[in-house]
Amino acid sequence: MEPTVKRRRYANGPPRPQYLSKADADRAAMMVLALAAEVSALRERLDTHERLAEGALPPTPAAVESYQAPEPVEALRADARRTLIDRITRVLIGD
Amino acid sequence: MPQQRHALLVDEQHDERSRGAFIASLREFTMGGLYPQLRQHYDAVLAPAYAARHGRPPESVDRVRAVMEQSQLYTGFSLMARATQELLWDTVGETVERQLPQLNDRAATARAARGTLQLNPSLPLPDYVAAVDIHVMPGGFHTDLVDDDVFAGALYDRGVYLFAFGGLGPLNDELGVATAAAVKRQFPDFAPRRILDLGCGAGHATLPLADAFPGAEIHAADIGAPMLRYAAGRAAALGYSIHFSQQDARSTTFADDSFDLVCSTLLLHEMPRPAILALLRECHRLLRPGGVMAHHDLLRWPDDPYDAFMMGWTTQHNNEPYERASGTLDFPRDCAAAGFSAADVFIVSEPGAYLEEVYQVSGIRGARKR
Repeated sequence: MEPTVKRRRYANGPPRPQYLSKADADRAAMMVLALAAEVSALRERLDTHERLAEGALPPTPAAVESYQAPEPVEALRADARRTLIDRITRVLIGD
Repeated sequence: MPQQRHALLVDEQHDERSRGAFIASLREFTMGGLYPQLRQHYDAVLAPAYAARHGRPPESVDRVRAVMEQSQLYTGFSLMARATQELLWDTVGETVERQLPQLNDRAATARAARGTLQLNPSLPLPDYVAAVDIHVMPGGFHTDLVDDDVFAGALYDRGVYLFAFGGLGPLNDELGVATAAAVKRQFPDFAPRRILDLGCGAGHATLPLADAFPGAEIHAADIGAPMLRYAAGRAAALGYSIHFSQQDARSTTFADDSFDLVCSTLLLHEMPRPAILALLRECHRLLRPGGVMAHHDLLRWPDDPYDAFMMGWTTQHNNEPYERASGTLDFPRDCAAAGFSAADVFIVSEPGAYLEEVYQVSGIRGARKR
């Protein structure tokens, strides 16, 4: 529900100082990409848990580690990776 | 199709597999998606806009560069491709590092079973190799981390599979298969008994030579000790008996007239022109009369200014500063200067072997020694 009283989202004063140089901005983008790899790995780990649960298998560390996604599951995961990449790169490459 | 397992391939934990798969997806996105999209955008939008302003299309590489560097699609592509490359080595590197002692042991055990390995710790590292870690792969092919180290080989074997998103085949060997097939097509009755693969790396292109010419004695040489320890272990683990040795391809320790076939795959484009010319002379020295040299690499640098600009991307962004030298050889003339006859030179286009969009000008070229 929309709040009846909206708080200010900015502070009066000079504009925010600029912190990142161009090289820093590149580094930040690389950090985002590394973080995206981690998000993707986490999603696939969660998916592994769900697949194990679907087969009524306890998601023990050993069961998760030894899980090999069958081809149809791997195809779904590839689609999800592509969707994630599209989402995070939209503002980077939009000409 | 997944990479074919063998005793030396790194074992990946669940999340390591996922991170690797994400990197392969990033590579597919940038090279399979953005790369061709860039050309379409250039043809449909950027070049016409330039032509409207200047009354002519961008006619030189520098003008194409100026146009492209104003394009968010291009800068985004470049950042993505470079960041993915760094992430690739860092991610696979973490996996290799975790199990390096076991990999070193597995390689030593496999090597003891078949084949040979001769290292030369006093071999000087060529300046052009020391100057830059190609492919932005930290440590290159040559840096030893510990005694009996295979780090570089283990990193490259898994890394290049993800880099090519599987496009080099389950054994990363499709370029080597194409090299061997081209030699057989070119010389149907040729039956080499002693073969040398120069710049063999992890041996991806070496083993197809053994498959194509059964019974031949196969030698393979590289400048990098950790790559060779891995390659020798990998070959042995896959059942091949190959003789690996640490050599400078410009000046090996093999005798004159001692090989029937000398090959290389993706070696030339990592060498500056003087080194390539020295390599051609060395091939001539090593070959017996009637012997064949064959190099799989860029055949020429594109004429089209857009294609030339994009071909130079790896020079600027992927630590491959010498790439243009291999594409601008006058191959018949340079072979003649190395002792071959220009009339005995062959050049075979092989654009479909890998990432055709990018490497439309690749293939196999060589010469037969009289």
